[in-house]
Amino acid sequence: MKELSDTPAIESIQEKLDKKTKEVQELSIELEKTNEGLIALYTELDDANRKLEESNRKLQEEEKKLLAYLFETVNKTKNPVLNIYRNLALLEEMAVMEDCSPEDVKAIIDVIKANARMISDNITELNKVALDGSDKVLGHYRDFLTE
Amino acid sequence: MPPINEILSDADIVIALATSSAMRKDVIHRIGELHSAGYSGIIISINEPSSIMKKSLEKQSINSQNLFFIDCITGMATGQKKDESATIYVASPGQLTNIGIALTKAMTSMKDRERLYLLVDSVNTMFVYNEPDQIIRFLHMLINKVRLNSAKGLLFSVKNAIDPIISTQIETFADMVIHQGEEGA
Repeated sequence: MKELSDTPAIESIQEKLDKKTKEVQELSIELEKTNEGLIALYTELDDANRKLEESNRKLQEEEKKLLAYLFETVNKTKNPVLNIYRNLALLEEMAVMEDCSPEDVKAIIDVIKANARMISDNITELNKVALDGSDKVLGHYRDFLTE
Repeated sequence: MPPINEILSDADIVIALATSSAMRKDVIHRIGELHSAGYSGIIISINEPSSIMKKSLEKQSINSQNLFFIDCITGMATGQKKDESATIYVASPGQLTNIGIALTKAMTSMKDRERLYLLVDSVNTMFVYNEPDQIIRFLHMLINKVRLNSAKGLLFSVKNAIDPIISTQIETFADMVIHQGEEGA
């Protein structure tokens, strides 16, 4: 008799259990969807991060190239200036010592002229590179800077 | 600064860094020291015409007879000149192949000399005329030639006048780097 009276209780428990199981299943599905969303988000973040790193690397490479170019250009102008300075000092020394033939003076002045020409050529070359692709400089100024 | 003879007893290839204003005198001074130590030399002059350098050496009572000049500046400044018995004129410091050929000729003519050195009066000036990669390759060839001929090499350069990365690369070719004008260097 007791068993019969227990049946509704068992049914009720079963019903509750089924309901909870369904809820768990629904939550699982929802969790799975959330996980998928998170994975997609992480993938997207990873991708963005990778692109950012690549962009930073390219930027650093460009900076390095620019620095190397600037160093080379400055060097190509600075060295002839130093050379002119050294040769003028030599010329002064020789003149003070009254120890220079016209050939010596000519040889030194020729070296100074060659270095001065080199400075002018290098600055013109630098101006050409700087103006390349720029449409903000008027034609006659462009000619003045690059010829 | 130790005398060059002492430096070269520890190293075959030496890079000498000098200030721009003192470099010329340092070059002449070192040639004088090498002359006194019984060395014969091949001078690659990039900065100063060989005629002027010879005159400066004469003033220091240094005989140019033990020297062979590869003059890379006179030709560029005054136009091509005819070679002399111990001087080869290269049209420009940019003509690295011609400098290499001149060096071979100079070494052949100096091969019977017991103590031989090669001096470059300004490595940094070479960078005005050539791309860094070309100069690195050229200097590597030059240094190997010096070593193969059991000679010594002395390469002068102005301090801080070469890109630091390239400078480090060049320094790896040498046995020693000395700083001219600094005590204990």
